[in-house]
Amino acid sequence: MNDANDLLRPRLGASLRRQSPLVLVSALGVVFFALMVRAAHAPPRPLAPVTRELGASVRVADSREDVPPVTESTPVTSASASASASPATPPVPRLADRLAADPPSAEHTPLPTVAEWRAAEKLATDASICSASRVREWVRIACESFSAQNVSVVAGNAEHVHLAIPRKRETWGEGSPIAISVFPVRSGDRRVLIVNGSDTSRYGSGGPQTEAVITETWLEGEGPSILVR
Amino acid sequence: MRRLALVLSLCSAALAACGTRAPSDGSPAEVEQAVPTSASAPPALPAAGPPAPAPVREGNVVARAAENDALFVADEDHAVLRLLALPLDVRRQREIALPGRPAQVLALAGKILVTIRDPGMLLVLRRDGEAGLVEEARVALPADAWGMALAPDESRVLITSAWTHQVSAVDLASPKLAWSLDVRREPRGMVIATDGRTAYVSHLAGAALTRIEDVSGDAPAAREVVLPPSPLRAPPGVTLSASLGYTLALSPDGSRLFAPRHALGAMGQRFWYGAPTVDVLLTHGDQPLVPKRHIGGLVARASEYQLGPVDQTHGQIPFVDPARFAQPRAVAYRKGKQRLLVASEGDDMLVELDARDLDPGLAPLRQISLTQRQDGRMGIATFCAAPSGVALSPDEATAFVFCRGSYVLASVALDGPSSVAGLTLAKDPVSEEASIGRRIFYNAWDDTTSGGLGCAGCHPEGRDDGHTWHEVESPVTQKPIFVASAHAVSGLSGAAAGIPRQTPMLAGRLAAAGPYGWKAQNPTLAARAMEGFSLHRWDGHADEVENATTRMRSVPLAVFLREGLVPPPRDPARQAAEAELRGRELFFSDSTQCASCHDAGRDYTDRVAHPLRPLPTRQGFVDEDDTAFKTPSLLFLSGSAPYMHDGSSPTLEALIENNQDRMGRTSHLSRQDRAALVAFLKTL
Repeated sequence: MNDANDLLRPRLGASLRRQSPLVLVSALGVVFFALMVRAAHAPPRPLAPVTRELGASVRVADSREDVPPVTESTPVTSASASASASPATPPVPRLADRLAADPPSAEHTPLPTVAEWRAAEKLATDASICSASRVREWVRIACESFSAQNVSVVAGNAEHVHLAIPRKRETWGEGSPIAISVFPVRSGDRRVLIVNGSDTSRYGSGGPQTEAVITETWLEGEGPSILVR
Repeated sequence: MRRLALVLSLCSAALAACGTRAPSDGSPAEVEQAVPTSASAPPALPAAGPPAPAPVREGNVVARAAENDALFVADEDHAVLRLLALPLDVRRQREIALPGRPAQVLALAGKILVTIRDPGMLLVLRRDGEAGLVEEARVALPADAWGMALAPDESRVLITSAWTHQVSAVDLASPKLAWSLDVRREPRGMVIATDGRTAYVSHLAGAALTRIEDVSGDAPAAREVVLPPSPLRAPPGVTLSASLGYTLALSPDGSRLFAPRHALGAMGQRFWYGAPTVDVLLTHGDQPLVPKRHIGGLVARASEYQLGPVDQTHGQIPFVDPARFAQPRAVAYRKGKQRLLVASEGDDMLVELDARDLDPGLAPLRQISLTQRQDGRMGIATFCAAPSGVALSPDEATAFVFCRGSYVLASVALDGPSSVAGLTLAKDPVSEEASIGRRIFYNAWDDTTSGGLGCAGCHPEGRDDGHTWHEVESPVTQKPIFVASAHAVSGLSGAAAGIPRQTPMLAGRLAAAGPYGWKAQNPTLAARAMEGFSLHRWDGHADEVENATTRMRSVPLAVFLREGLVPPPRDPARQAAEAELRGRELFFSDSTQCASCHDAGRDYTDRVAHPLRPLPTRQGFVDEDDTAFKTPSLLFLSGSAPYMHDGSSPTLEALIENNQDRMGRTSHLSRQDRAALVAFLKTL
C-alpha cells in the first residue's frame, strides 16, 4: 500500500501539468520575491567553515575565529559592474590599486581577528565571483560559485595560508559554496591558488572546471601583485 | 656585392579592397567599420625621419617604422616586403620583390632588416627620400635565416637559421657576418638581454631554451636553459616537452623573459593535445617564475556536496579551457599596460595576457576575434586567417596583425571596446583549392577537422614538433585518438599508455599519390587527412570519416600540403664530401640493402608496409601487435629528429648504431662506414 507521500507526488505532478506555463512562472516569481524579501531582512549569521588538513606543515583554519565569517549581504563587485553602477553608488575600490598605493610593511603581524575582518574595506578583483578585503599584510579573497568544490594552493609557499569553503547561509537554507583564502602578502612571495568546481553550464560536461585563479607575487625590486582571474 | 636599387611596384587598385570585421571579446559582434583612409591621393613612400630607436628589438612578421610613418610586412608566401603608409590606406601600400622568401622584418631608424630564408641572408635596406627603399647590403647566412634580435646599442643583430640550426651575428656598421654558432634544432625566436651580452633562443621543437653568452664579442658560447612548460598543469614529477617556440619577448627592464609556446602533455579535461602556454623565465638566475606545483598540498573541500572525485594522484590542477588560444605564433609587449599580445594562429585571435602574472596563459584578460567564425560551408576564417605577426602603434592603442592565411593586415583597437578593421593585401599565390586548404591547415576551431589544434600545431610549416604521441582509445567514443601524454587527459589511467607515433615531417615528402599512413592503410593523401581528422581530437569521429563533410575538407587540404608547403632549403651548389660519397655508395650497395626499400626514385620509399622486428617497448607506451610499418621517406631526414615510429632514436647516429640489421644490414659496417652512411643520410 502506498504511503501518503507516494500518493501525493503524482497528484501534485498532475495538478502542475494542468496549469498553463504562464501561471506556473508567475507562481514561481511570487515565491522567489518573497524569499528575497526575507533574505534582505535576515541578520547575517556566521558560518562554520568546512576545512580539511592535508599538508602536515600547513596550518588550516578549523574554527570560526581562524577564518572570518562571510558577510552574505556583501555584493561581489567586479570592475565592469562598478563602472555601470548608478552615480550614487561609489565604485568599489580595487585590491590591486590598494596594494599598489599602500604596500604592506615588512612587519609580520598575527592573523587578523574576526572583528578586524568585519571592519575591513571591501575590495573588488578582476574576477566577478571574487571579492577581497585586507588587514595590514593579510588579504582575504572570497569566491562565491554554485559549482565550487575546493580551493587549494597549487604552487608556491603555503605557509600561513588559510583556506575554507563554507556554504553561504540563506534564509531558505544553504546557498552557494564560498571559497575563502587568507594569506599574508610578504616580500619574496610567489604562490598560486585555484578554486576548482565542475562545469555545470547548460551544455557543460559536468567535469572539473576552474572557477578562479589567484596568483600572488612579490619579487625583489617589485611591488606586491595579486591577480584574481 | 651586387647593389640593387629596388624597384617598388605599386599594388593598389588591383589588390582587393579593405575588408572590415567586427569587434569581439570572444564573440564577434557584426559591426562593420571603415578602415581609416587618407585624403592624400598619391601613394608616397615615407621619407626618412629623425633618428629614433627601433620600436622593438625583436624581429616580427610585422614591424612599425622607427619614424612611425609606415608598417612593413614580411610576406613569405609572396616573397615580398610590403610597405604600408600610416595611417593605413588601401591606396598607400607597395610591395617590394625580394631575393627569396622573407621570414621577419625589423625596423631601425633609417634602416630595415629582413631575413631571407632561401638563400639564407640578411637583407639591409636603407630609407631614401627620393628612391624609396634602397638595398644597402646582403649578408650571406646559413640557410633558412628566420628570427632576429637587435642589440640594445643597435650595433649588432643576431639571426637564427631554423633548418640549419645556427645562430649568427651580423655587425650592422660593416655590415658583415661576425660569427655563426651551432645550436639545437629549429631555433626561431630570440631576444638580447638589456646588458647586450646575453641572448635567449626559442626552438620550434623541445622545451629548453638556448642561452648564448658573449653575443657582443667574438667567442659566443651556447648552453641550454631549462624552462618547464606549463608546470602548473604538468603531471607529478614530469617535465613536459614543448613545441611551437616561434617567439620570445622581454619585459622592458629585462627581468622577465616570456616564451609563448605549446605545452605537450599539459593536463586537464579534454587536454588531449596539451595546452598553449606562456612560460616566464626570471633572467636573473634563469629560474622559472612560477613556483613548483604542490601534489596533495593544502586544499579545502566542500565535502558535503562533492560533485566529483578529486584527483589524489595528480593533485589539484587548473581546469581552464585549453582552447583559449591555439598555436601561439607571435607576441608583442604593451609596456604601458604590462600586457602581452599573442597572435593565436589556430583560432584567429589576438589574446591579451597580464605580463605580471606567474602563469600569464592560464587566464587571458581578453580574446579578440580577428575574423568571422563561419564561412557557411566549413569553419574557416573569412577575413583574418592565421595571424602570424603583430606590431603596436606608438601609443600602444592599436595592434597591427598580419594574417598569413588570408593576407590581411588587421588593425585592432585595443583601448575601450575592441574593434577590428583591415586591408586585404594580396590574393593567395596558390590555387583556389589550395588556398582553402591553407586555411584548414592552420585552423584549430573547425569542428570537423580539428579537436582544438590545427594541422600546423603538430606540423609547423609542414615540419614536425619532434614529439612522440600516444595513440589510445578515446574514453568517449572508444575510437583511436592521439594524446600528447598518457597523463594528459583527465580520466585516462596510466594503463592506457597507448602505442607510440612520432610526428612525421610533411613538407617535401608528399609528392607520391599514395599510399600514406604508418601501415600504408590510406590510399591517398586526402584519405590520410580524413583519418587524421578523427585521430587528432579527444572524442574522435570515425563514423564520419567517409562522409562528404570530411571529404570537402580533406581534398583541398591535400592540395595545399603539396602546393603550399615549402620544403626545407637545399644548397644545389654544395659539393658532396668524401664521407658522403662513401655513404652513398654504401646506401645503394647490396651489402646494406638500404635502397631495396628506400627507393631513391620514389622519395626514398617503396610505400609498402614491411614487418619488422619489434623495438624494445618504450617507457610510457605499450606494445602493438602489428609490427609492419610503411617505409618512411628519407627526404629531409637530418632535421626531423627523433627517429623511428616511436621516437626512440634521438639521432641518426644512434639509429644506425642500434639498428642491428633490423632494417637492411648495417651491423657489419665499420665505425667509419657507419659514420659515412649517416653523413649521406643527412644530405637527403
